[in-house]
Amino acid sequence: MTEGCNNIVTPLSRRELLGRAANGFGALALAGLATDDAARASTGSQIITKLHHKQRAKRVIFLYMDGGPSQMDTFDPKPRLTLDHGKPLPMKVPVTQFNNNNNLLKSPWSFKKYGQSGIEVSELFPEVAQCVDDMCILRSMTSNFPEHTNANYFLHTCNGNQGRPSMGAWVTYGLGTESQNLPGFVVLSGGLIPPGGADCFGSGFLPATFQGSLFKAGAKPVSNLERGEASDSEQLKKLDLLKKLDKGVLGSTGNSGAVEAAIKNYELAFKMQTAVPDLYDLRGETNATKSLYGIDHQYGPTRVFGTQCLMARRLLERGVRFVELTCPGTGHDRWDQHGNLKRGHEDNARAVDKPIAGLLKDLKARGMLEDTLVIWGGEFGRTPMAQGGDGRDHNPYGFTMWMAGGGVKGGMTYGATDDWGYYAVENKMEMYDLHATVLHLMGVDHTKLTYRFGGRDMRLTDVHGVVQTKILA
Amino acid sequence: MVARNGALAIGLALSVAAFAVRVPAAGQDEQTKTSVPVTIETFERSVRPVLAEHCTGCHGVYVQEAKLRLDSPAFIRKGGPRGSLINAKDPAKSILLEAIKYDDHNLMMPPKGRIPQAQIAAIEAWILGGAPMPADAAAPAPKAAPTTDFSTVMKQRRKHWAYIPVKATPVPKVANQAWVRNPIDAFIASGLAAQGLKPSPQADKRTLLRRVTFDLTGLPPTPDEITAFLADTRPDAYSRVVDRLLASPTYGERWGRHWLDLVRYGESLGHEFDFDMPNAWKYRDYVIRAFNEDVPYNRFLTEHLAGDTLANPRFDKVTGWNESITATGFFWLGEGKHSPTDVRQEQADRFDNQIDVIGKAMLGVSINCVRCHDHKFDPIPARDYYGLYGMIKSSRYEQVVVNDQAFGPVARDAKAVSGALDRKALGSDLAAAITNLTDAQLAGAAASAPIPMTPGTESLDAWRATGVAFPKVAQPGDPILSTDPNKQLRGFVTRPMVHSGITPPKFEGVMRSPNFRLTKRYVHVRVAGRRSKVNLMVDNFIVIRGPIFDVVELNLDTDQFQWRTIDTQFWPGREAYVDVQDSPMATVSQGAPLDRAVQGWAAFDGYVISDSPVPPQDVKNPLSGMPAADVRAALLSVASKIGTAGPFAQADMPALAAIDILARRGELTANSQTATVQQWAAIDARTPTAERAPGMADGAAGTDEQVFIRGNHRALGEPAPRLQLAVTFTEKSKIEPAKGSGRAEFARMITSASHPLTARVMVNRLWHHHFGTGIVKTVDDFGINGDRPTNQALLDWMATNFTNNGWSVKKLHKLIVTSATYQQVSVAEQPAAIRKDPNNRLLWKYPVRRLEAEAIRDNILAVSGSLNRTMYGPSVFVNLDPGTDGRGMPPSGPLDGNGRRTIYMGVRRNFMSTFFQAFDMPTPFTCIGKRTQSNVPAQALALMNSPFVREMANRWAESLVKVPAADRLDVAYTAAYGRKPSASETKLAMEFIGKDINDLNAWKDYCHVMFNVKEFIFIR
Repeated sequence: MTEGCNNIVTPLSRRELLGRAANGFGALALAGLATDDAARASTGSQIITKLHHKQRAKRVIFLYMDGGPSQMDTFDPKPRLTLDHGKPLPMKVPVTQFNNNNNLLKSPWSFKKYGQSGIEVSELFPEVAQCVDDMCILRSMTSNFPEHTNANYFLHTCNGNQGRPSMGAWVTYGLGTESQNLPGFVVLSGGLIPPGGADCFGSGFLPATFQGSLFKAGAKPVSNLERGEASDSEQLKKLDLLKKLDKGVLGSTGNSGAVEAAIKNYELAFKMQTAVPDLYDLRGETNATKSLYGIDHQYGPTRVFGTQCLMARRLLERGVRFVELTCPGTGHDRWDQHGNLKRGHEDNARAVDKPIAGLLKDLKARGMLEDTLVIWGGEFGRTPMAQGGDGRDHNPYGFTMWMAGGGVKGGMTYGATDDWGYYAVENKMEMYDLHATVLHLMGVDHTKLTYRFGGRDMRLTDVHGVVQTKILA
Repeated sequence: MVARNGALAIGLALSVAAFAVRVPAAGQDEQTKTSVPVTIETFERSVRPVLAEHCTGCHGVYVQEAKLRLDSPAFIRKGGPRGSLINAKDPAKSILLEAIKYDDHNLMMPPKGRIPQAQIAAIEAWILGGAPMPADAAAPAPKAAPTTDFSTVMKQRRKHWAYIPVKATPVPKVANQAWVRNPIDAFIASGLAAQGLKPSPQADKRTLLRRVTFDLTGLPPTPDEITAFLADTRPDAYSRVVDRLLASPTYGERWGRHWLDLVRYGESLGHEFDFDMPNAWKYRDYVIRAFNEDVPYNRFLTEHLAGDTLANPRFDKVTGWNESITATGFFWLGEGKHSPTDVRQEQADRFDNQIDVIGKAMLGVSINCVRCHDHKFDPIPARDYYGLYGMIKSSRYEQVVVNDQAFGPVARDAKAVSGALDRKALGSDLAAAITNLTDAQLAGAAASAPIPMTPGTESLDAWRATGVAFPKVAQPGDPILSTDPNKQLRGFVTRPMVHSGITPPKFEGVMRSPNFRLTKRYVHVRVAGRRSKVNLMVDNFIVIRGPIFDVVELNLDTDQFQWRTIDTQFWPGREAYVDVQDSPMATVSQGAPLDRAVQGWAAFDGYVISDSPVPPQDVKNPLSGMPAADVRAALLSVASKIGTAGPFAQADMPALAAIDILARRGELTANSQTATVQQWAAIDARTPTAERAPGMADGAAGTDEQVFIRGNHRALGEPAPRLQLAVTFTEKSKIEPAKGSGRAEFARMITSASHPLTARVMVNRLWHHHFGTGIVKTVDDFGINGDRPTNQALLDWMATNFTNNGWSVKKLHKLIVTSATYQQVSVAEQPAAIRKDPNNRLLWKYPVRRLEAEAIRDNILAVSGSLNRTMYGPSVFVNLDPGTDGRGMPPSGPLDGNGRRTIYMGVRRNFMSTFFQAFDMPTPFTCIGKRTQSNVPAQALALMNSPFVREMANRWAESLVKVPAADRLDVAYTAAYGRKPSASETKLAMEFIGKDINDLNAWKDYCHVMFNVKEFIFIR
């Protein structure tokens, strides 16, 4: 390839495809080896063989705060809101999900300046706040949907409906993975399944190769990973027979590429059987590290999420391209505090604060933060008005996400909401812009990463998206 | 872009203090009034440059979004669709100010970020100062966008091959006549010959049988079928096999599933709680039966689009259910949002999905691209899309009654009984009873029969009923008969209204109003009824649930008319209609069926829309307080009118209302009607229970939609008459004007044999499934952006053949699978062909293909002896992976799905089977004509380790060890691969089993390996 990425990639031969497939699990060319032709179709001729520009982030961790954390109570301090507590919001208010909004509710938490940058963070995140000089706080995020499911799909796929590829799927479709025996896009479930279900992490119209593999919390993270045979040798005996019988089949199908790829698939599957338990075997981690992540924390959900965060780092070390984390259960309905804001947000924050800080510090100490992009946020934020006496409704018009590492400027805030925190009014950032920027950091031009479906060249960012150059380091 | 950067320039520097300068609220406006006089100069200095910087890119000389320009004073004065940007009377409320201040989320301009505070302040000062502007020189005319006129483009695009009607194509003459079995082969041989290639030899009988059996039925051939075919030496043995397979009910289960992919078949609504779409499985069964009965494809499509409107619906021979109306359920198999805050947006999204499915599945065009703009590639103007939008908007969702036929006799009987009712005797009975009433009874009735001061339901002629409960508009004096011979009357209708009391209690039905606008906030309805409902259907929204939408549903449970109020605060100005339902399941997609008894009635006596939350009050009956003699006289006078069936005057209402109350209280007997009431009770007793399925009903007069500019439902453009799509693809003269919704007319147009797409698209779908790749590879996109056909002559010849054969799908199958092309071997040493056509697009051999998810599972069931061939009925829940969680999670089903074929496994949108998805079963979000064929470790892991596969291997082994050892391997190979093992395979097997030939555990392991051998999941 010479330059740019829209070049038509020369059709690969079956051998080349298989060769590439051998380079890694879920690697680009592994997709759809049904026939040589189908393979090209499903990998697409636009798979990136040469980055569009310098890559700053090689991999991504998305800390998905399901339910919608409140911006005014976390990373977007609003003194005016405190002043006007109890007064009506002096602006027109669109219909909200429950639409039983009361007057303005000041944040129950105080804010403090942290780090060299002096960025203010609420007392909900005392640990993460220590990393603020590595963080770029996006205070002007917007979504197009005020309902959870649409907003979840929109956050993940830039489309409010079911069935579109998730960002992790697009990224692995574009860049593949460097892992030999793990999927390129892993979702570490903390226990809560977001509204919209697994389709938040789906591959949509992209080949299934790129879908997020859900590693569940608990003893059996991956379905069908446990062999039923009593020992490796018993299973190997069967696989050995299988290999010999398959060899005959390959001959009788004229060395069909599809059959050959399906045979090769078993080698990867077999490796995965041990790779996942290895991944989950934390005996090699020091107590200091475990402690850093909060794995010894007194609060159960913190231990769960701490383990997830550590697992995320271990996945990245093994070459996985995109890791997404969902929240642990804290006995509340995710971050969705229509009521019981005080307790709910406190418990949720307690569950993730220490682990996230540990992750950032650990990545930094290991030199991984500079080419790992960490993204934090939910599908929308919450209203500055109270719902009931101690709750906040959904707010897609202005909320906060943050990013760290991977070529993003640290110690800065970007954009702003109005004085009460309802509408984004400065540098308003749409989901499309977020994803355009993430792809940009990964060395990908979001307008060039396309897949032909239903008569159109589909993109993660649809026909939108502007790279937010001001936040690039 | 400009706006973003402009804002950015000061954005970061802006301190909280600077923010505080901003004047957000009314009452503080004084502060911004400046003492500096505002002049035209202010405009030139502080306003025009700001508009030029931030606004005229989208509202200027080249682009006029929302039909608005801001590049000259005249345009600013003129404004856009919402009028002038400057409010002369109340400058603070000027639209321009509202937009730039970001006070109203509906109007925040520029969209990418608020402009700097100083600029806002300057514009505000200018507006508050009277917005002086220079008199405008002649405004520059808008320049034509730098593209060609779309109608010219259309003409050009209509020359695309797929938009030109199919012409009869001659069958080419080929040299290789010996190979040609039917005309398909002539086209293929001719294509090959042109490249100097030749076809491959015929496959052996075993391979062929396995191939065609999977292809047509999705199941492996049984050992008996293999034996029979091998033994059949007649020349037409293969043709007989094809006939047998096409006649097998398993054919419909296989090809029905292909069709379900096209209509994004699911049984739940997805979204947050994955609510149930009740009875979706009846549509699935309809599809299976339709394929099995070879319903002509044009008829099949007609039933989908307009099965509810057909004069001659089809009925299932076994159940007697109405097949045609069941087909309309496909509209509703997509997602359904829960509690949208913008219901019009949800309508737009849902209709878009429905239009997308119609466009791709039936016509092979991406009509939905036109949602936001005229098509970028194909000759489809945006107006066409919104023509279809109006068609769907004019239709109504309901749980249609599929056993409507069963209601015919009782409906006829009830009509006969009402018609034969002896009114004269009824009048006499009433007169006698009234004469005998005490003064107290009369006074009591008058006192408790308030009457409404509002007009009744206007123009009931425009209302439309489905079902049997609302056979006509109820008329004053119509008796409400009971089913109790000792208490013949339950009341009387007091004025023309919607009232199902005029039919027996078990009769079910729905009556719907025409669309109206929610011009004011409160809708007050005067209703009565038992075990019934009134719903306000806003923008066709059907997922009626809290929060937000619970208010639109009123449950009726009172005999006395009441005013009920629906607060429509969320939907100002939206369109709505009223659904009066004497049937708890009739309209709304409730998650769980209501268990209420079906006996009930519903009455709707008009609605009032007002700004007040207080409903109109009924007034005291004027008879109340009058001397008893006068009351009695008034009642007697009306009783005699009941005897003559009217005519009634408005003035009769007080007396009629009093008689209604007396009858309800059982104070009026009508012994002359005892026999009638017995007949009534008998009819009621033999009234069947409604069987329902999701489907469509036509509204009254349809309503057109307007084009949404750039797909924005808040920016309405030109009107889009229904059925415009016809303009694109059929001759202009054939466009029929839409009656009702227009679905029936649309169906007629696209199922015309001369339509350029319909037949071609379906023929190509069959080809795709038989050969793995369509003649047009992009099976859902025949448009300009789609692939060109590899052999258009063949496609067109088959399309002509298809329509000439009465759109028979089975005849087309037979033609294809009995061709020599189909019967070729899949392994052929043709170096030239491999070089010239490596992808086998010319079909010089048969392609090796992996089975679909459904066929893999069904194959496992069949081979292990677990297949349960029961057809139809509610779905079996899928077996969920351990640890599955989420809202609306269904119960986990049995590991083996009760042995039922995969088409009978439930399709819950948010809880799809990971086993099926690993093998590329798609999430049903839109039309998927071509599944991806991926190769992921999850497939190997599922076959290696899933409890289901292991369990099936165990079962198979258990039956296998009962077979005599000498035959055992032959039996296993025949079941799994349709052939006998080779010597080396036998040797491997024996080595693996070991010394004890009857070691069950060894056989379990061996059977498990057999499922994993690629031959099991590939056909060749």
